[in-house]
Amino acid sequence: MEGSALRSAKAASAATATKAKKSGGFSFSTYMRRYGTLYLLLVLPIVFFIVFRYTPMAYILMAFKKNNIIKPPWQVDWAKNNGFEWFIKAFKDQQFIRALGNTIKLNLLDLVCGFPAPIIMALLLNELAFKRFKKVTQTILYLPHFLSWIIISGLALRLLADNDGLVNILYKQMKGDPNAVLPFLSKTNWWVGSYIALGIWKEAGWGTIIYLAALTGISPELYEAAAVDGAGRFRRMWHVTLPGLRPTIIVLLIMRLGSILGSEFDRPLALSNKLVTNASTVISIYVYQKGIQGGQYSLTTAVGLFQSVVGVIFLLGANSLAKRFGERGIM
Amino acid sequence: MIKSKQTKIGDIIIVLICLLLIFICLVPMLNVLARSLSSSNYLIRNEVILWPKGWNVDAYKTVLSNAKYVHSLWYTALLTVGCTILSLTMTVICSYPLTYDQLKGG
Repeated sequence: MEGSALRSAKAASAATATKAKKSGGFSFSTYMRRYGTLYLLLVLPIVFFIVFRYTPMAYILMAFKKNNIIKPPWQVDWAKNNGFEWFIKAFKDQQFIRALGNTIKLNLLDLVCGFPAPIIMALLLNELAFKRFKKVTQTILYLPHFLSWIIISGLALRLLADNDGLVNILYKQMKGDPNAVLPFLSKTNWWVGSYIALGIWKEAGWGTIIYLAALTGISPELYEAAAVDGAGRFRRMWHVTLPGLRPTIIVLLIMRLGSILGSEFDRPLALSNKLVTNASTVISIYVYQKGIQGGQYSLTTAVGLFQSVVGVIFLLGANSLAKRFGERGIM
Repeated sequence: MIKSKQTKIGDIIIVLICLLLIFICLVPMLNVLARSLSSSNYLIRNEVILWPKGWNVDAYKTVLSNAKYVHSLWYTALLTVGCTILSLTMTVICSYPLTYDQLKGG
């Protein structure tokens, strides 16, 4: 990846810089003359971050105060139980517990099934001998990434619906029985399977781009050495390709684990229907129903804060775990 | 490169798997495309799978003649171009100074 070349260049320049630095460092005016324009460039993004990312953090206070969005939260009274009223209320709510369980279940399944899929696809594409077929396949495979979830839900209905879907029409013709049906979208467990499968269909092709880029960084001499040692195709994949992909895999896994409690909104909303609400209500849908439709802003801010805190804990934990494995984490 | 028989069989299997994946990725979109270009009597009988039957562009005419849809399309295009330019500019001017290791606070 070009990141590793950049990193080695940075390491080299840092080494020379530390050797050249005097004990007190540069004087302020020399430093500013040298690097002043860089700071100027940084002003605009820093302003953006402060305005759009850090200032709204002050409103997290809403989670600990009474439900009132007309006044800013520092002017509102504290909630009961030292401000933890909303957290207690959320955890006593059956709907929230079910939404939490659904979120964890769907995210874990997504991780287990959807994380290896781009890796396997990248390994598969890497083994193709015909260059032009490889490029054509790659382009076609990452086309579904560009469709939004609303469109994909329409496609899913066209294909998987109980009576009108393409798959069920062919199934009915095959079985000769007009009542035979594969309930992809109407039974809860089948729905979860379709949800995960559609997620893989959409994102696997796009994910292969990163892995294929990382694969080009593995030196071909390693492959040749393995071939000379008598390694067949799968052995080479196991001993050369996968260890070469290890840093990329670990970084992407850390980033994925950081959002283990997060949930996207349009995916479950678009794909769900009234028959599967037991399995399809995730935290983001719960927040939408309770917060925006139900007006309980403090409760849902508390839920969101809980999500973020757990996400940060997972991120830090995964990062330190990766560092213990010897890879560089993301911070 | 002289390939053993096993490698050649492996190559063919991999090509077949890739063709299957391409099929899976393309069939839903081709199905929708075929349905949009078919006439409604074939659609009701669910006979359209991959190729349009009874050529009919009425759906496209309806959408493109409605001013609301055309306005939405135009707005989407404008939004995409604007957002891409803005986010790319922001990312570049934020990341270039960060590549300097000597920069304090970077």
